[in-house]
Amino acid sequence: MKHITQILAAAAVSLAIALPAHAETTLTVHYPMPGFFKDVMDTISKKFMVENPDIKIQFASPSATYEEGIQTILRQVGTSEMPDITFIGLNRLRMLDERDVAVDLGPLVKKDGNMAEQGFSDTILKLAQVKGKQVGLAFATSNPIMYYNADLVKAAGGNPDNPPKTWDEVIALGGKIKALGNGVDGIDFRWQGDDWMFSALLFGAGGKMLSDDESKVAFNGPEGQKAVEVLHRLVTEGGMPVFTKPAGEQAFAAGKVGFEFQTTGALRNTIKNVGNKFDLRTARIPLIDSVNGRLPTGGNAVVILTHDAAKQDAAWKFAKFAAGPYGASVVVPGTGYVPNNELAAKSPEYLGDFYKQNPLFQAGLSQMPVMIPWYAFPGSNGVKVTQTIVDNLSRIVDQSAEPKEALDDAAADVEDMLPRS
Amino acid sequence: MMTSAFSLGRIIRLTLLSLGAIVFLSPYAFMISTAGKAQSDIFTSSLSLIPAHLTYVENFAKALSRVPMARLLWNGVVVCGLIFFFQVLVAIPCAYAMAKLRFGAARAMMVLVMLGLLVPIHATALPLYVAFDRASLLNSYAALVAPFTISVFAIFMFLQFFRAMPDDLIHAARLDGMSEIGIVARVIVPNAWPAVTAFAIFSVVAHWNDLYWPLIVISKQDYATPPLGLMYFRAAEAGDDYGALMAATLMITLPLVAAFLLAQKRFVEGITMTGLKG
Repeated sequence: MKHITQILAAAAVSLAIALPAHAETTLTVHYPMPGFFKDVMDTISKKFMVENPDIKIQFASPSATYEEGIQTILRQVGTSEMPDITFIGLNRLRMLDERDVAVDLGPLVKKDGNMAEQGFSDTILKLAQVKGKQVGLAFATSNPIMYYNADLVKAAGGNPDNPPKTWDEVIALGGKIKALGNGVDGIDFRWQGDDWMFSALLFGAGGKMLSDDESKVAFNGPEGQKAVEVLHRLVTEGGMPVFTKPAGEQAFAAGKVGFEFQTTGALRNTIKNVGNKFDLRTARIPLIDSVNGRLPTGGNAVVILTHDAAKQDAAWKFAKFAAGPYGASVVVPGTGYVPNNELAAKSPEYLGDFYKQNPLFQAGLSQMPVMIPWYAFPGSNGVKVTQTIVDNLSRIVDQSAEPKEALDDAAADVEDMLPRS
Repeated sequence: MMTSAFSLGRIIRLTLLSLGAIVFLSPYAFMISTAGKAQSDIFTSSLSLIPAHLTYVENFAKALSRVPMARLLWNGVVVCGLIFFFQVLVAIPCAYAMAKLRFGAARAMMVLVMLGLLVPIHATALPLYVAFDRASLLNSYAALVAPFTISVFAIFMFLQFFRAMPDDLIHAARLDGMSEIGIVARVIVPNAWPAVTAFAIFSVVAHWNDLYWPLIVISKQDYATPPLGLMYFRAAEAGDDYGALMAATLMITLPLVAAFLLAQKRFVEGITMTGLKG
């Protein structure tokens, strides 16, 4: 006992002497979607600076979306404006890697040794890997869930305490809600913008985007056909109108839509937008194949950009801190994302109690075991491929094409955009 | 009979103008209304202009605490002021020379000015960005101001205005022994105020509201202009925090509205006198 206090005292003294000699390291951090992340980032960086007084965090102007974020970073590479750390959408990590912008974190993970003890299991590390290379650490992760308006479900004869578990049940109840009239719609499924929610249907049926060697399109197989068939029936039988993304969210928040399918990351904002207007509930999203079905992981990863050795050490500390249990305990309640750190989810010190008190947040948490990475297409046409898929989905939703026809068109076009090897 | 204050033609004219005014003012009215709504009151099944619970205080407090509003507004004033000052400093002598002096290159310059009007900032953004990076001038007022100091639009506008000025005025000044600089400073500028005011509105509104260029050259908050500050309220999933966003927007647009109302009369004068109608 006495020894320990002596060692501690010695350490304290040497620290006190060593500290002033240490030059202060300043890290510039860039992040997207400040509407979500500003408060989260401020809280995390403040706590980090208290624990690491020799490192100072400053923020670059944030970007409105993940896409604008990566554009900003790609423009700033090699200029004095380039931040030391950024947060990149999980499906754009491959783009960063192919352009060789991010620092490989593999050696840092190896040097650290005990990542699992800090809550970074292999599954979690894998979320931010590109072909086995550790490009970042998953910071905020999400999966798609089902939001529903319990008042409308009750009015249509459903039991809000026992929400539908299969797409057939969802579609039947959606049709009944639509039949209530009064401008009410049955379902909003967020198919616009990117291929994430299509992945939710496709992976949910046990399907894949491309073949294992990434040379051929695989999303038009039997699983993909089941996926677009569900989307088609949401429109024809489930009472889903042709919404734009914001229109769907706003109509749901106004109490005019029965079911909404989108990311659990939108939960906190949805709760705020709904207020007391109706009884908002959440549940797991149905899987077409309840055994082999998986769900795509949305969200972002913290990525280190600086190649300066001293800064890299500091940046690694910050990356681990942000993606670690404390970071998760700030991100989850503030947004609705699911914890990307196993310590945070289980330990009552971080989030254990939060989930007991906030049952709406449990839907996303309970789906964590089926999360797999959001697929990123290879080559330079990634964004175009995503757009091609979305364009063809829109033909299904506005009923200008049969589901199979639209799916085959998408497959043929995407096939041409894959890199030739 | 026709002396009544409200003849048929006048009633029709006023109705049309009022309808136009309502259409153009309604977004602003909605902004003022939304700035006072709680987040759960913004998306409802019915449309109401009057907030159910007045939350102006909360929304404004949030807007002020989320972004350094005073800093943003100050940066906006500095940047717009500097841009406007240099634009006028360059454009007035240039337009004077092209309008009133005879020299060989005048025609060629006119062509260049017209060509310049056709090139948008987006076309030259990348080379400018690289140049500012090499000069280590990113994140500075210089990067925000320098690309806009020569405004071909200003030259064109003043040119139209000066052409309408009587030559006799300038001849008289020359006979009195004034230098060309003296003529510009003491004859042209005092007569050009309506045009300068009109141009001020165009220039200040454009640069106060510009998001494109500041977004590219500024990554530090110390130099952020007002539209960059609004970015802090953006979130992609499940919408933005509209109440606070509208409160912040209100604060940022207010100086422009006030400036326009103050300069309204001169603005209309300037537009009609320079022939830049429609």
